[in-house]
Amino acid sequence: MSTPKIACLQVRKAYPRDRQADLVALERTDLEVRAGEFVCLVGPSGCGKSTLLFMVAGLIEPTDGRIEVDGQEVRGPDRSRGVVFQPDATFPWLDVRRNVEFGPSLAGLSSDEVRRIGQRAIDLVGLTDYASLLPRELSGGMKKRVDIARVIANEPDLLLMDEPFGALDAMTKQRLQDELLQIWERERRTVLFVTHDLEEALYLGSRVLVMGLEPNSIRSVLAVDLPRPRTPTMRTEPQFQALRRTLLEHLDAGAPVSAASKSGAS
Amino acid sequence: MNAVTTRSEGVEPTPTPTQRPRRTLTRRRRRAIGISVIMVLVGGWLALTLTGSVRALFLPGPGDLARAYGELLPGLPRDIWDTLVTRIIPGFLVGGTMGLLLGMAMATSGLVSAAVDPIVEILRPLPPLALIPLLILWFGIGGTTQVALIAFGSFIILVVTAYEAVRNVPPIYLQAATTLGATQRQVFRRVVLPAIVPDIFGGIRVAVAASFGYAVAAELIGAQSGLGYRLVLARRYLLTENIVAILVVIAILAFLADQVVRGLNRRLTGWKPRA
Repeated sequence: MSTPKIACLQVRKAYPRDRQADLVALERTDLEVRAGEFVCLVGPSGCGKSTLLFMVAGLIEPTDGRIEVDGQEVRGPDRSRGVVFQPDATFPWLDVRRNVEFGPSLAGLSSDEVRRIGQRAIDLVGLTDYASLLPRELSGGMKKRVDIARVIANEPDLLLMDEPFGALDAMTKQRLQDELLQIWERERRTVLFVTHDLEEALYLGSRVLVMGLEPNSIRSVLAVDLPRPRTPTMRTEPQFQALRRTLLEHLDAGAPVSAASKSGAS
Repeated sequence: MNAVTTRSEGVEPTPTPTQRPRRTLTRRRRRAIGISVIMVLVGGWLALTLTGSVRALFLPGPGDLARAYGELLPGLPRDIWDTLVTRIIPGFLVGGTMGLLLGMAMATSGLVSAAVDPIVEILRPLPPLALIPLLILWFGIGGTTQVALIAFGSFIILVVTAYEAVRNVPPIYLQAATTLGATQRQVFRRVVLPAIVPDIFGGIRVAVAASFGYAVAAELIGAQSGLGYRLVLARRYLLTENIVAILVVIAILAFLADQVVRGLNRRLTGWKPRA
């Protein structure tokens, strides 16, 4: 088998505390993502899913273990691993175009080239008519498009998304999910997508990795064998609902033992 | 082109509250009220002085003021030049620039911070005006004292402002920039610098206003020219109308300086929400 795109080997992240046991954000975890895969990470708050993603991004260093991308150990952030964050990360002092051109403009390309790459990404996310607006003139969904376009413009091998649509209203969220899928269908970049929204994970992902608390780690994997391209009507089909039920069971199994015995609810 | 989206969502700027709870007055109303109050005060002043119910020694009337300006006018350009151009502007520029650079260096380098932080923390609570006697001993009464005092005061204000401003840059911007491939230098130049401009302007406004204070205070105590020096002379000869006349000049200059800073600020930070 060829080298996986992402390989996490016994990765662990712990923060030392005064006179207490370390705070373990992520217990030893293995993860493999193949090139071109769309993998979703779900789990309750505090299970370490964002920590794992940030470590793959190179923004957090693992305490133990090793993370490799294309067989190379991750050491710090790199433009080949683009990150879309949950909060708005657009630079408010730059207009949409300059925001999107930010990455390419760092790489020492000619200004024509930067412009061309930026324009392509702007068109791709449907911001063509808004290129000269400032972030303060945009809605939350539009700002998220800028975030995505800015990362796409860098042509990363790997797209890391940390609950990117978590702060959006339901309708905007669904629209952006479909746009993201269309971009993915076209370019087939590897995506690692963190969310706590089960429907989102099933709708987008080819595989859903379910994380649990105490120990914070990946507990199970669910293959999402829905056909591609995914369409909005699939959300209501029995197959989708069945997957949803299975995923819920997986999540319940991932709850810490004490909490699970207290309540089967939520 | 091949836009993937349906654009029904449209541009929807974050609504800014046009009326905050306390401010339910329209702009025009507010202005009318402000002008009325000023007119009442001026009316009271005219009434008190023109009827002769207050001695001119304590509150000069319009005629006294006119005479004062007639007397001061020939020397006024020179005094303004000395105070503003040879003292406030160079003092502010030298001290402010050093403060900005050092504050940014402290915020970005642990080494600089470790070396400089204790000194800044010791100097910061020291009232700059308390330095005047020492500065006069060192630099005399020829103008250098004022420049040094203004430079010191501006330095302290802006070193703290710049440090805090860099520290307050939202981490999300830095994370976004580094994952987009920015080097440390690029992050500083393209993210930190533009992000801190609004905060820096806040500090500059404070420092400019303070510089006028330091200039006049240092001139009151030891100078041979300048607006503060004129104030001392006027007091010595009990020329109250000259004192008031000079105060008006200082107020106008300080107001204009603030307007310049605000204008620059508006041009440079138009991107800010609710600017």
